[in-house]
Amino acid sequence: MEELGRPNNEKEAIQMLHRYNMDLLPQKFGIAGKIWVMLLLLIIGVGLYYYIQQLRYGLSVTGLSDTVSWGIYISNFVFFVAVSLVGSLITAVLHLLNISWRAPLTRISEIIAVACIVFAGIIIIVDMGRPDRLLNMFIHGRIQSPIVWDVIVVMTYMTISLLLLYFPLLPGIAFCRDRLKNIPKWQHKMYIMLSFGWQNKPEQYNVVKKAVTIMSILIIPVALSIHTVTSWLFETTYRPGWDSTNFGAYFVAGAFMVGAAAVIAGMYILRRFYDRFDEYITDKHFDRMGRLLVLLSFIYLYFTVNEYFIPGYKMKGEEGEHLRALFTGHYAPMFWMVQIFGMIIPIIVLLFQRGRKPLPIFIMAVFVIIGAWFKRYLIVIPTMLHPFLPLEQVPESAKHYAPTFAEWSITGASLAGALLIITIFVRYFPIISIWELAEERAIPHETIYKHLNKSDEK
Amino acid sequence: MKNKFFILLAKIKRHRVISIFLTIYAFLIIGEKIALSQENEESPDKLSLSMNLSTRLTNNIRSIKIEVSRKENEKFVSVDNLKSPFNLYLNEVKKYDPIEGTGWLGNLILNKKGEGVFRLTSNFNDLTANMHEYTFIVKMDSDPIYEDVEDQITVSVAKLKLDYLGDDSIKTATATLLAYNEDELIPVTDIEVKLYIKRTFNFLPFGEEGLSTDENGEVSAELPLDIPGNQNGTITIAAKLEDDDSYGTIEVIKVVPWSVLPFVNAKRERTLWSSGDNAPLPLVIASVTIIAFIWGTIFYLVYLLFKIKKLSRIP
Repeated sequence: MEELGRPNNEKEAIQMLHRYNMDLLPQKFGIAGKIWVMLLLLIIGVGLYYYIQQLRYGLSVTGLSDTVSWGIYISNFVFFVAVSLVGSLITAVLHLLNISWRAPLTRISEIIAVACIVFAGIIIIVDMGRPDRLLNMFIHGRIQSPIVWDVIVVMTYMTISLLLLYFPLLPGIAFCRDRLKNIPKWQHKMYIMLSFGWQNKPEQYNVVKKAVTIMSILIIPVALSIHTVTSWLFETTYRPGWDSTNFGAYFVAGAFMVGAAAVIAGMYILRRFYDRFDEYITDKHFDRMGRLLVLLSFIYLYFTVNEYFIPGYKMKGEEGEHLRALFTGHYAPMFWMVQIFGMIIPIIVLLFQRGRKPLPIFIMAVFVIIGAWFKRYLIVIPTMLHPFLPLEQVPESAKHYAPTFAEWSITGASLAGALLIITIFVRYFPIISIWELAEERAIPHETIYKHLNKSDEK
Repeated sequence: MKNKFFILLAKIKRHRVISIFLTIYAFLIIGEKIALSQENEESPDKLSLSMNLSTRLTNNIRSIKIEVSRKENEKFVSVDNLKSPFNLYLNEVKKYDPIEGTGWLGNLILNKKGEGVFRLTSNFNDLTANMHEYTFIVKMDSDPIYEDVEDQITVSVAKLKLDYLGDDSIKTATATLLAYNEDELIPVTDIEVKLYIKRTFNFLPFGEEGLSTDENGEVSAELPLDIPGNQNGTITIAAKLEDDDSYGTIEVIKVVPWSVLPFVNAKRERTLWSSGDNAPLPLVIASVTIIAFIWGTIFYLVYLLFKIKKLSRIP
């Protein structure tokens, strides 16, 4: 799997550009792709059906109660917010640091960020039970409330993420508009509308680059805010397990870790199912992302030690009871599985170069992602079941929480929905940014402006 | 006609992903309807119900609560599709007898949870003043899905009084439980009666746990003095006999004067716990500045987007 090198002269540069043009056009799905889409639609269909049931009968179709009023919907929300942070990590941080291997990964991370933040917004509305009450947040919202901060920051991050995806995509959309033949009319119209009159002019590229730089700076504090504010939703509530000063940094570290894992998983799947993508997403990319994931995992491990094991040394009062439930009690199997499979094993495997080869790193990334979802479950549910005030005069059912099938279906549908957004995007738009890749491979700007999106010249 | 069919077929083919999705979804919904109708039609033997009755006397107003459920897969589930009314009778199933005050009292249709509450009017007590025991019979028949069901509950008449005595240093609530022995009201001893103070969402118990009535039928406890009342200078206290086998639930709720007023932000101070329009100024200024800066930049980015479009028109 040879990596594409840098051109020695203009002729080579033009040839490289033509090759990118050929390789990176969005492709129609094969059988596997169609089955995948059908499967996602099926999961979404079942979830929608149960959501309608929830609208009809209220949150009584869920396992939520007065005691556990935040269940897997909120765990899922935190998970989505965490994964969405990847947009800022890969695009903004690597862009500002001028990391030279980032181009094939930026759009993957941006679309993951957009899909996840959209569904973070949706799942929180699902959790409200009555979606119409969202309006109350805007009519009666108090600026003192962390929930209002969260709504503001989610909307802001969603907007910036969309713009960060859209600006560098403009040449790609124009590329599809001009190059894709034999496509349905609606698809062509969509490209015309979305390309915003892009003409491949140097001045237009300059505007895009300026916008990307502005957004790369802007998105970092907003991205840090979104996950910090999400952590404050818990932290400002006086409950065992949430009464921590470590939470903001802990959440951000965990989000970067799972976000990097999500990009690695996306890289592997694209490379596996798209011809010639191994020339663009190379073993070197997996190796670099592996190193990044190890670094982020170590940071997360450091915060985990501070979050759990130092309070565990003291085991004071209700906090101790909550920690005992995690370490040796009801939640111990899940807790230790999350720590071992979601953090320790990936760290050990990825420390070795062989572990950073595409398949092992993909498996480790999947471990990290699954571990991260259950980690959010452990953050939300055990604490809800261990309030400082004793659970008196409540029915026995309120002392336990088990998500119902309806909850699992709706949660599954939200995850499938995020994957469907990514899938549809890959089907209709170039998932690797050709002009950014060309710039990264030192193809002169003039050549890019002149020859990008032109296939007939030899 | 044939042409239309082929056009439709071609459309379906073009949008096959959406079509398949809609088909699956339609199957799900139709499947549920068929399952429900089968459930209703399949069994010529009607489904059986289990009914639970309870009575409550709140400030001398009596109510009878009906809860029905049915067994499905070894679990009790609520019944949400009952259309037939449930009839309430006093002492025997017959038409209402205005002289004795017995017979049919009324009917109701249960809610989607399979629950319903009969609330008897205040003159029920006057009409049945000579009775010291009631037997309430609840009956439902002729439902197309469910078997006929009938149940009854018998309660002895008891009276619960709540007295409040308060000065600045000690405030005491005393509940007295009396029941009929032949025609005379006598104290009921050794029965647990709980005392409560009403808070925003629920009743907060006070006094010793497990307080039982003494030889005078009384329980007594001091009220905690640090609990704030409402802005009118009152507080609501309650005495409750809960789920007793002989008397059912009896509760007395009473509003009494109270000197500890709730915290009122009279000066409309700007605090974290004030209303939205009284948020602390530094917080408002910081939030507005940050939001304005970030959204201002976002609007600038949108302007750049239109600049790109404009540039495409320049030759």
